Amino acid sequence: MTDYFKQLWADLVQLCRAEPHVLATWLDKDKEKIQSCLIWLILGSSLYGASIGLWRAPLQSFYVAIKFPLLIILTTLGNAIINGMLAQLLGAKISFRQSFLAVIMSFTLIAIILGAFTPLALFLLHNLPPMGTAAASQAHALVLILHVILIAFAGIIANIHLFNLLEYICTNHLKAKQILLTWLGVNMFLGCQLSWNLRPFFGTPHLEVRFLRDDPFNGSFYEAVFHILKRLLF
Amino acid sequence: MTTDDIHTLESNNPLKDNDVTLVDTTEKESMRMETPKPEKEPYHLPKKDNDTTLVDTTEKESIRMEIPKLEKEPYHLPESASTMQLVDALLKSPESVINQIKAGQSKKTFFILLGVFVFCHVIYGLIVGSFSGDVQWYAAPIKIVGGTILSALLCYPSLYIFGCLSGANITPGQILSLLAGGLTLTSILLLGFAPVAFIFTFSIKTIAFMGVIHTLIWAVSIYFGLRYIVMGLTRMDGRKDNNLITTWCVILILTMLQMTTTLRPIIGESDTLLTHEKRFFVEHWLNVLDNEMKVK
Repeated sequence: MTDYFKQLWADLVQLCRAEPHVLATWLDKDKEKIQSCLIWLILGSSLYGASIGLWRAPLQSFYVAIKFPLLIILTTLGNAIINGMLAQLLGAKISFRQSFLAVIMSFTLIAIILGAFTPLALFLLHNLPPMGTAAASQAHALVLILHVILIAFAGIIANIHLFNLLEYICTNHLKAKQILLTWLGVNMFLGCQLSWNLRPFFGTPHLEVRFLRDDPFNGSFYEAVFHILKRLLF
Repeated sequence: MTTDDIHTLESNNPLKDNDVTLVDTTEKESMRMETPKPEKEPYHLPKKDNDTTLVDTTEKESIRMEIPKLEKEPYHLPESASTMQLVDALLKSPESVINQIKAGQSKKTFFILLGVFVFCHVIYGLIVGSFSGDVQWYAAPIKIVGGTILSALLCYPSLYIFGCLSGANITPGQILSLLAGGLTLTSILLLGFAPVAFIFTFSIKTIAFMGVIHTLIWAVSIYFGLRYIVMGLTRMDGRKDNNLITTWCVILILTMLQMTTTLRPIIGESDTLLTHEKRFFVEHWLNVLDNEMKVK
């Protein structure tokens, strides 16, 4: 058991160092590394998810701690086949499971970075005006902006490391860039929609705390964006 | 001495750098040999094969890991390849399928590709049909498979002629297999996108948006299918002109887009299986979008 935790910790350290030649070895041990990645992904993203919902209510915090890892896992699973196909078509000699592991490694790194940011997010929340006060709407906006910045930062770092790994695997800068961009596009395409289905995350102050909205499958992220743009432009 | 005199002297100078013909070649060679060349270090990729161990210094017990050999052997497609081997080859090494077609083994390959094409399109068609349900459960897969085959058949003669005009040494059978390969690759990618399309199908409520999502997915898939066809023609001996094949790709895309309008409704509901009103696809799309804007 102790060996298992030691190995798990060693995996975390290797993932954070993100040395391409080390992470490339992971692709050959995909089964055990997928398990390890999933554990860290769930831990990191649950912790951070809890901090996202905490400003709204403790119950919201609990819900988001479940939904945030769920969002990442569902996005990765939903795109597993197409990501594998695109990687192979664009010249990476990796199997479907290996491309799945590469994507999950990148998401795990995001989760670990975000997990490490949790104490900072909590400290900021401690200093924000709580729900029910006059400045609540400003605080809500600040929480939103803070988390968008943190998630974007973690995403950039993780994708740089994913690019390095892809470049190492493909031994070609252009191929690695193409694969990374297509993976990013496909993951964002589905991820945006799933985050719409799984909302609320931050918890709008005047709405009741719930796990999912009454109509989680009514409408899409892109329809919402379209209607907002329509209202703005026409 | 005037400046004109200097120019005259310079132009008469046999050792002037540019005037190579006036310099004794043996002398020049000896000069070359004497000049030491700066030896540049050859560029090395990161060590892969030699560096077989790695030690994690944070742990008391060093963890030894084997670095995998990244340069794998080229993909070899057996002569009598199974369906899965062919699908695998289309994704990992399309050139091996093209080589098989080039070698004249296109008949069996064609039928396998056709089978995969129909299977993948039927699955994706079911997801498209699930948006409206009822009749569309079976109408959408039939229309998608039929429409794609019809578009391909309409464009097949022009592909052969354009291929020949661009200089490719290719038979009608080979070009048919190449076309089937491209469309099969498209269908495999559509199948890969099936989970994504499935999630959108249950979330989106308007036909216009569902249409946009399916068109986007199809656009990505057909891009790779056409890339395969272009690659195939490049591999056939003697092709010189790319523009004709690019033109043909545009023709195929336009034909397929028009086919979706001709066979409508594919996504939405209708009392009849086919609509008799004739329309250009751009006009149809603008109409749908206009209705959408009015509704909201």
